[in-house]
Order: sequence, then C-alpha cells, then structure tokens
Amino acid sequence: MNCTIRVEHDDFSGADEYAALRHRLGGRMGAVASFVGLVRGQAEDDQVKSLFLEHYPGMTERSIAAIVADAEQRWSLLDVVVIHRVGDLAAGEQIVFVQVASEHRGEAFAACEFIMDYLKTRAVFWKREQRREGDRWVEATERDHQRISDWNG
Amino acid sequence: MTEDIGMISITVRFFGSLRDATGLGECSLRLEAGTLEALMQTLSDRFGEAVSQKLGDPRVRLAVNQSLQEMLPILASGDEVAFMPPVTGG
Repeated sequence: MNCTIRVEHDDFSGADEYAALRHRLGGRMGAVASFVGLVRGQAEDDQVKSLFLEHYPGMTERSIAAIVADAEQRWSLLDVVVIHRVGDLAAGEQIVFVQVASEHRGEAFAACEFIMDYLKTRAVFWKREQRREGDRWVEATERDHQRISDWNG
Repeated sequence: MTEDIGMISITVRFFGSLRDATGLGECSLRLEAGTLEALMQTLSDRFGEAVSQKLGDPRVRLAVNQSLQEMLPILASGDEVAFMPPVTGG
C-alpha cells in the first residue's frame, strides 16, 4: 500500500491529490473516498475567528502513520493520503485532507471515516480557537471519543 | 569550574495550553537525578507551584524522546521530555 503523510503550513488541493493518485494507480483501483475538513466559523454560541494548530514534528507524523496502519489492518487498501495543516488558519480554510483508494467502495468509505475519527482523538495536535470572547484550547469531545468506541464495539 | 557529578542535562518541551502556562516551547534543565520527582521539583522551582500543578495534571501525558510513556523511565543526559496535554486533530 502507498501511504503519504504530510504535516504542513501550506494549503492543499484535493483535485491535485486525486490527479496524482490516478497517475500513481490508474486502473488498479476501483474506488476513491476523500474527506476535507474546514475551519468552522461557529462553535457553540460564539464565533471562531481562526484556529491555531500546533504539532510535535516527528511524533505527529508517526501518530498519523499508526492510525493509517490500523486502518490497513482492518481493510484492504491501495493508497492513503493524509494532509494536515498547522499554524494559523482562518474560518473557512481547509485543515485536513484524507483520501483512501481501494478496489471496492466499502473499504474506501469505511477507512476514510475511521482515519478521520482517529485523527480527532489520537493524532498529536493541539488546537486553539481564537474567539470573540477570548482564546480557548480545544479538546476532543465526548462524541469524538464515542466514535472511537463505536469502531471497537 | 564546579564539579557536578551526577547532574544530568535534559530538554523539556511544552505543548498546547502548557506552552502558554510556562511561556516557553522548550527549555534545558539540569537535574540532580533522572527521576520524575527530581524533574517535577526542578520544574516547580523554575515555574512556580501553579504551573507545576498543571504540568502534573493526570491528563497530561509524557513522552521521552518522542515515545509516550506510562511511567517515566530513568532519564539520562540528552533526553527530551515532552509534556503533552490532551490532543485533538482533524
């Protein structure tokens, strides 16, 4: 399986990643599922102006690689790309990209969702919301943890 | 030059809310012993009791040389210890 993990400040293009994947795998794959996460400008009752994302270079990439390895144990996958941005990101900007290719759609859909759910709780990032009422460090929610339990139920 | 046999030099890194609490991303520390007690005492001396309590919060995880630890191993000179509050990505 091909696995690409990038943690970077710069924005990404889902279209470019898909084009590169088609070039890499051509007719070997039958399904591609991808997900893009964006900075949501609204949290609870307050407006989020921007996010700041911090990571631990080296450890963060390995934490993502471990999540992808878990997914590969569960499903037959051909190619996985995870791109996660760090630094200051304004509302509306892209944060995260997950793209999974497999022979059949079931694996691609499931693994894409699995990887995203695990990124929320296991990937080594810290996220600070800059709100009107002041800054706040964000943690994974109960719902995020529940989704991990659901995968292991 | 002072002899400091037994002293060890480590790097400590702070992330997320703990970076804000200490006001530093990382610092070098000299410890009298490579134990958790010596580390926490040195941090308390340097940053004060309030910050030290945040560092000692049970939800804060420790990594040594980028590997998560359930129990802190005996530290040696050159080790990098990271204080990691709860993570979230995506």
